[in-house]
Amino acid sequence: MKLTGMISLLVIVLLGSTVAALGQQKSCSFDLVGTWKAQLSPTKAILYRFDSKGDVIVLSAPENAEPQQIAIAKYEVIQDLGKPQSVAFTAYGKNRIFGAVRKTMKLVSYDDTAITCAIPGGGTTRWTRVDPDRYFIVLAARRGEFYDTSGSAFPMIIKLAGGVPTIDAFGIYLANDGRAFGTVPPAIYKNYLREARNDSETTLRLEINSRQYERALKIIKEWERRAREDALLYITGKDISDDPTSLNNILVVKAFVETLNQCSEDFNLYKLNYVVEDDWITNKVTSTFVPFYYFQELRKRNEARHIPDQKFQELVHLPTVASR
Amino acid sequence: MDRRSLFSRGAFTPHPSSQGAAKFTNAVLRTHDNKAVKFYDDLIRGKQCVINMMYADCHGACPLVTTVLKRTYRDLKDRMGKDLFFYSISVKPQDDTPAALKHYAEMRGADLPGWYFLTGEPYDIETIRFRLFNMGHPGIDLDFAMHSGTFRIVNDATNYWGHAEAFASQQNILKRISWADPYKSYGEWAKISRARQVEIDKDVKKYGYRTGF
Repeated sequence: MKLTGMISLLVIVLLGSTVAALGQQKSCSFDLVGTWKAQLSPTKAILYRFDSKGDVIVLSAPENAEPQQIAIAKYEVIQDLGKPQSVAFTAYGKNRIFGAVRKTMKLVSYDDTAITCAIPGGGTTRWTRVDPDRYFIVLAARRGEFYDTSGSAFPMIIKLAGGVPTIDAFGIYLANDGRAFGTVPPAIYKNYLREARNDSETTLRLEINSRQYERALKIIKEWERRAREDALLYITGKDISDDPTSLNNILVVKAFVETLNQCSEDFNLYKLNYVVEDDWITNKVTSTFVPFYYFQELRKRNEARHIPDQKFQELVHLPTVASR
Repeated sequence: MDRRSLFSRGAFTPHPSSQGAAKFTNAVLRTHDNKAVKFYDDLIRGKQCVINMMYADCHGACPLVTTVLKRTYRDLKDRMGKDLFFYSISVKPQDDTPAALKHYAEMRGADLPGWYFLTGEPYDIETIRFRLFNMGHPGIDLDFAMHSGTFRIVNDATNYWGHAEAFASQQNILKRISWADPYKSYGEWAKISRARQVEIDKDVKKYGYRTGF
């Protein structure tokens, strides 16, 4: 009996771990365009600048010196069943890439910020994406702004290029004539970038990478289009007993947050999935308050990576905000 | 009825209370014959239709649901393409080209008059899926598999909005589709009533009581 019990327990644990492992499978899109850095030694690095036309420029980047072009080549990403497997290089003229005219580099793994590749005769190397710009998200929500004691709740994304921030924000916000759902105007979102002052406010500010930024921006742009074209997913009707605006906002914040971990487990996310075991929020509060508690829970889980007020204000100078 | 008249606007009259394109959207979809159609104007406006969501590479419920629709089509074939239409919309439009849907329809013996397999932009398909099948619950509605066993039954001429479960009995499915039928005149109801009485009389004579519905 004991043995049977132990075997059953082992099977359950193994099955559980298999399911968990499958559940962790991520879908990273592969985009080589941009600049990648291979750090050869503490003082020496190689830069690879891939353009969208199929050319790559290789530069040596010694410490404290301007990068120098050392080769130029054509490149082609080779796919199998829609997944990138390797990159084939053909050097122009007398150029050489990896010591030859033609060379194929096998892709071992990749995520939002790095590629691990194997070069024949050159071993395995890791490239990291070089990006002069910085990217941030801010999740802001309040209580007590509207008649039902709920409040604004919207995500913001910030691109900091050359010291100038560009901000996009979409969700439920307090407009002059009450609650509004859509693109949040700069005059409104500026007040929500700062630190929460009490229990009725919650703010989480995180630095993200360019790929996370692009995915999050795509979600905001899609919802802006939905608002513009009257194509919101929930609309008022007899088939809905809940407030459709709150339901739409849940879809926005959920998609926005979940896209951050689409490629790797970068942040400690709360599972807003309506499953009782995972999700206490939707089990305990009405849809109107879900984003507030969701953001608050995310703040708790990612406190160590939250950017404090002073540091954030040093990075993002609000007078220089470039609104779209 | 030929395709030209099916897709010509104004052939069917919507109910004055119909929310029209504001609810159904007028997204441009493509049929399995690669014809561009406007969802409300060409497919829903003033018509009675049965709509389901599927995808061609589905090995779960979709083939079974298509089989149920095929059986339903056979039972209602005199009306199909005239005043009743079936629309099977792909939830994987990025994979399901019109050609892929044509292949699916042919393989399942479902390439039939009045039955259209539809694909389009993912953005539009998502809007239509929510507008037709949402249950006001993001946890359920975000999972497109949750709707795969449900038929949405619409009659825009009578402003009827109902549904049927694909795995209910065939009698139940037919009954639910009939609830969306166009308004009948007193004369038509009298004719139906007389025919029904004949069936009841037969039952009573044979079994001593009435069977069926």
